[in-house]
Amino acid sequence: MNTLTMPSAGIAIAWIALPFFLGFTIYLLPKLDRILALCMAFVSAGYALQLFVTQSPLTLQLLDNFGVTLIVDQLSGYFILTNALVTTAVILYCWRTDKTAFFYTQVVILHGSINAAFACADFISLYVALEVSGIAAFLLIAYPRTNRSIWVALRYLFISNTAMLFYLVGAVLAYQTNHSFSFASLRGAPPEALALIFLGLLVKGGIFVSGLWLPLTHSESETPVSAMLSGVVVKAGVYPLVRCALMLDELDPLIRIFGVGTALLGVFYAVFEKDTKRMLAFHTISQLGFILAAPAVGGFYALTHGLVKSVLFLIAGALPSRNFKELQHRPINTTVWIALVIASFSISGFPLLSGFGAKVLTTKNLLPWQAIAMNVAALGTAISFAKFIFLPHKADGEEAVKPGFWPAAILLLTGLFVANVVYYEAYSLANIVKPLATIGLGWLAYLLIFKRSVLKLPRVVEQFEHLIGGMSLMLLLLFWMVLA
Amino acid sequence: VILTGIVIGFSIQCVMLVGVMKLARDNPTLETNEIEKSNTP
Repeated sequence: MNTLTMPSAGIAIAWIALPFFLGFTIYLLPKLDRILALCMAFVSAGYALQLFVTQSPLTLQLLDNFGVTLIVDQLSGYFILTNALVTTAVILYCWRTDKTAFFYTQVVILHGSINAAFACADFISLYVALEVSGIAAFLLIAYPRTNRSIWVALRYLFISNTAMLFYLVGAVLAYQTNHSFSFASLRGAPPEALALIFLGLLVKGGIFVSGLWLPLTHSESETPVSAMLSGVVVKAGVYPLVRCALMLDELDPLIRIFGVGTALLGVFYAVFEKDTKRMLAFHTISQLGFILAAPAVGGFYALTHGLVKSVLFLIAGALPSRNFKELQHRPINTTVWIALVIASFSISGFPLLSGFGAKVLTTKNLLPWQAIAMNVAALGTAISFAKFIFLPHKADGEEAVKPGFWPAAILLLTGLFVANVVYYEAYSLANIVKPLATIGLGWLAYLLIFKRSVLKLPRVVEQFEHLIGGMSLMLLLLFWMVLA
Repeated sequence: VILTGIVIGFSIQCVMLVGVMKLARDNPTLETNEIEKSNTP
C-alpha cells in the first residue's frame, strides 16, 4: 500500500468500524437512537457516492496473508448505496413507533456487518461479517417476542449457522492449498473447498433450492424487518458470489447456471402464491437470480431490486389483508395503490423507472443460452405483479398506513426514478418495445389464466428438517458440478 | 481465526439457548415438527 492511498484507507476502515461503535453508543444514549441510526445510514450513502465519484478501486491488504483483504470499488458502491437507502427508509418507517433503543442498535449493527461483507475480499472477514449479520437479523426477527417470531428467528439462525459451518470448513480447505484466505486463493483450490464455500453462500444468499428457507422467514417477520431482510441482508450472501465470478473466470459459468435456476424457481412459486408477503419473498429468490445471471452488471440490478423490494414490503404491510382473494373484495386506498403500481411497474421493467434500465443492462450481458430462460422469468415477474396492479381501489378506501410510511416510501420511490438516469443509453425503440410486450403478455396471461387458478403448491420442501437435509443434497450437486 | 470461530460459535449457542428456553415453555419436548405446525400460517 503506498502513501497516496493512506487517507482513503483510513476512511474505509473508520467507515466499517463506525456502525459498531454507534450501535453501542445508541444503547448508552437511548434518547438519540433514531438520530444516530439515521446518521450512520447517511454516512454510508455518502461513502458509496464518493466511490462513484472517485472511480478508482481501493484494495487494502491489512496484516499479512493470514489477515484481512478489503476491496471497495463501484460494484461494492452499488451494494453499499442499497444498504444505506434501505436502512434510511426502515428507520424513517419506524420513527414514530415505540421501538426501543435495542431495535435501533440491532438495525445499525446489521447495517454495519452488511457493509463489512460488501467491502471485504477474504473468506474469514466475510465469515465474521455474515455471522454477525445473522445474529443481528435473529434479534430483529425475534423482536416482538411472540412464540411464532422466536421460532421463525431460531429457524433462520439454525439454518444460516449450519450453512456457515460448511462454509468455514471450505475456507480452511482453500487456505490449505494456497496459504491465503483471499477470494483469489479459490483458484486452484480443491473441488471440495469450492463446493463447501459455495453451499454456505448459496444458503445465506437464498439461491435456488437452498433459498427455500427464505419465504417463511421474510413473510412472518415484521414489516420493516422483512423490508430490510429482503432488501439487503440476502445480498450479503450474493455479493461474494458476484465478486468471485468476476475475479475467477472459471467460476463464471457455475454462477450463471445458478442465476438462471433460481430465477425460474422463484418466479414459478411466485406466480402461484396467494399471499402477498410470501409472493414478494419468492420473488426475491427470483430476482437474486437476475443479479447472478449477469455478474458484471449485478450491482445496478441489486440496487434497483433492494429499493423496490423494500418499498413493496412496506406497502404490503399497509394493505388491509395479506390474502389476494380477500384484497380483491376490499378496495384499497388510491394513494397507496399508486405507490404500489409504481413499484410493481419498476420491477416488471416498465420504462422511466430504474427496473427498466437494470433489466435491459442484464439482458445485454446474458450469454445466448441464458436468454430464453431469463425472458420466461421476466414474463413470470409481470404475471405475479399483475396481481398487485389489478387490485381494486377507491379514494376513500381502507387505509392502515403508519405515520412513517410515506417518508420511507417516497424516499425509495424517488430512488427508483433517480437511479433510472444511471443507464439512460437503454432508451432505444427496440429496448422499450420488448418490456412493454412482456408486460402485456404477462397481464394477458394473468387475466385469462392465473387470476382464476386455485392451484396451491405444497410447502413440504419448506419444512425445517427438509431444509437441513436439502443442504446435503445441494452439497452433492455442487461437488458434482465443480468436478464436471 | 480459531479464536474468532470459537467466540462466534459460543455467542450463537447462547442466543439460541435463550430462544429455545422460551419455546420450551409451550413445547417441552421441542419436537420441531410440532413447533412448526403450530407456528406456521
